[in-house]
Amino acid sequence: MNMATVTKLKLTPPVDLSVIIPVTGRFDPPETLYASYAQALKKTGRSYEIIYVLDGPYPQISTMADRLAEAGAPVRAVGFNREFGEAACLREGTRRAIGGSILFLPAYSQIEPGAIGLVIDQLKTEDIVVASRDRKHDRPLNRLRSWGFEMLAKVAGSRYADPGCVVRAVRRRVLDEVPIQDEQHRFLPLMAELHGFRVGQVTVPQASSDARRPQHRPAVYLDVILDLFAVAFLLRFIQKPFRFFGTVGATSIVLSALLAVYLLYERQVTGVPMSDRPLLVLDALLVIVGIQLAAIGLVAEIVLFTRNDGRTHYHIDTIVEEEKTLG
Amino acid sequence: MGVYLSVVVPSFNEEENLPLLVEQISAALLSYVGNYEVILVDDGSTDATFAVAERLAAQDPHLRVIKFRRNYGQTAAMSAGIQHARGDVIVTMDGDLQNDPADVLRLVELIDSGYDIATGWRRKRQDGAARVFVSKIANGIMAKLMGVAVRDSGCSLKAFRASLIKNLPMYGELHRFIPALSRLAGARLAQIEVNHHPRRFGVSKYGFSRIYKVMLDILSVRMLLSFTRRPAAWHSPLTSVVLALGFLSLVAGFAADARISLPYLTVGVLWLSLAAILISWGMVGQLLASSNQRVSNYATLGATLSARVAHLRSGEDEHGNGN
Repeated sequence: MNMATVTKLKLTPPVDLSVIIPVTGRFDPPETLYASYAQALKKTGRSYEIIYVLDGPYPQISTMADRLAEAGAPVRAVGFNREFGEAACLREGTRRAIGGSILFLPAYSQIEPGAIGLVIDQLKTEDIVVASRDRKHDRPLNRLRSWGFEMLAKVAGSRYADPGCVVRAVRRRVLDEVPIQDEQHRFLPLMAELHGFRVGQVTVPQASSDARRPQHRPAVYLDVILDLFAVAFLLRFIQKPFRFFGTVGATSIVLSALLAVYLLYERQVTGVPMSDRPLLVLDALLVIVGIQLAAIGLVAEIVLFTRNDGRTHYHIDTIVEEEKTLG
Repeated sequence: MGVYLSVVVPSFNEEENLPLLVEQISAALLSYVGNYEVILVDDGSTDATFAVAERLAAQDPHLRVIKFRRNYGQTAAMSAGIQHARGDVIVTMDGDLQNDPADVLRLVELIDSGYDIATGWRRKRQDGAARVFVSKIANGIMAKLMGVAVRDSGCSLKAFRASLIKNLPMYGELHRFIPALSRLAGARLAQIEVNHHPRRFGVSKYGFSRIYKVMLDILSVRMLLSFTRRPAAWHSPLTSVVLALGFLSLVAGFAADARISLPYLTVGVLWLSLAAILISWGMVGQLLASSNQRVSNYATLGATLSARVAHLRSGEDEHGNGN
């Protein structure tokens, strides 16, 4: 029997692995870090290239990259003239990468470089591999913060430990399909899962310098939390926004109805006049907020309805059919 | 040789049911004269459903299998099956053997006799009392809100004219509203009693979980329908109520004693501001409609079907429709 399966062209990429290192503000002495990364990458036995993406001018790193490239090492640096953020760096790096798989690494040591091989090896069976730091030797404060972050991510629907760890290995085809959106690059595994890719997770030893490092400013955390909820909303209600907004709106309206019952009860039974109470205004406000939220949900439904031009939200893995009926 | 009839079967973790199902469908369609195909959509099953389906497809040339990368839900599975169907008539049914494949041909006959959509009505439902009750309430609400009496929207066994179903929006939970949607678009709807069997294997994988979700879905579908008809006016019933409330409170405030007029006025102004916001959202909706051609496509689809139905309505009555 002749089965038609979609066969993809097997092009061998010129290098196995493209390593993308976004530089956004924080970086460790580049020479030592490069040396440790390069050593670890050589040990994996794969051909590789390293692309530094500089978010603004970082002369120290760009001169180092130039020097290394002249010496024949597969290193490049591209830079923006001003800051565009980490997601833009990752996008730009991905655009220039020629490898069959892509590895994101931080410009400061987060994990023991020796563990890089571990992460890449898992790509054999998974489409995207997330590293999470083993915080056994971390400072208690850092551990607490990371635990809190992880809990929040869990609430938002992420199953992956250590969302703050930059180290990720991704197959090319994932990035062809899942765009790295601004402020959502941390949740790339989640987005990939939504697209039906297999996501794996490895725990790797933490770099000793990472454990000593003070973490980000509080404002960064607030940003991340807001992004997290945006992603969680997308994941759960992308197909039915009115279920979310309608529920919130209905809750508000139900509350106002309860309040109205209470006000009427007081007027009829206890004799408190209703019309000059601030509570009456609150009651009206609750209804109004409820209707507004519901209206936003309806507008979201309209957006979905008008914008889903032929694009399907599901992804087909294989189609099995007999060839001759195709004609 | 073109395919005339496509049977779409979404299945999620139905490895035990599949062989029997395919056998029953083949048996039921043995007497069918046209060319048919059966499309099994594997909705990201975690068991051996795909392997079983593949094996069956190797034996039966009528069978096609679509495998999802992961679980996307029943609507997505139906939608994928429908979009890949090659037949002029499309029949959807559950993959759990609760629908009787013997009913497929009866539905197809109805389409052949001129109806655009034929739905099954599980008169003797073989499910738990709670499930039946929830679905009864859902159907009742739907009938009230949409003005369309569909006896059993939850029944997956339906037959459609391909030109109709391929043009209807399908995402979220919309597949449950297809009868209502198409009826409002003016399609001729027939409803017949179909057999319903208790499950043999496994447990039910799909279903309306909570009644309030159904109500929310109904509201949004109702709104989308009026939006496709008149993009400027989807919010107008609500807006007019809000405006009336606002003016009423203002009038009451001015007429009332000075001591108590302030809260009335405040409430009135709040309502009016809500009206302003709703009107603005209405404009946003219009903007979205004007920058998108599909909306007018749906309106046209509705209009053409309505024209046909007006032409036919004088003589013909609908099957099994009480009102």
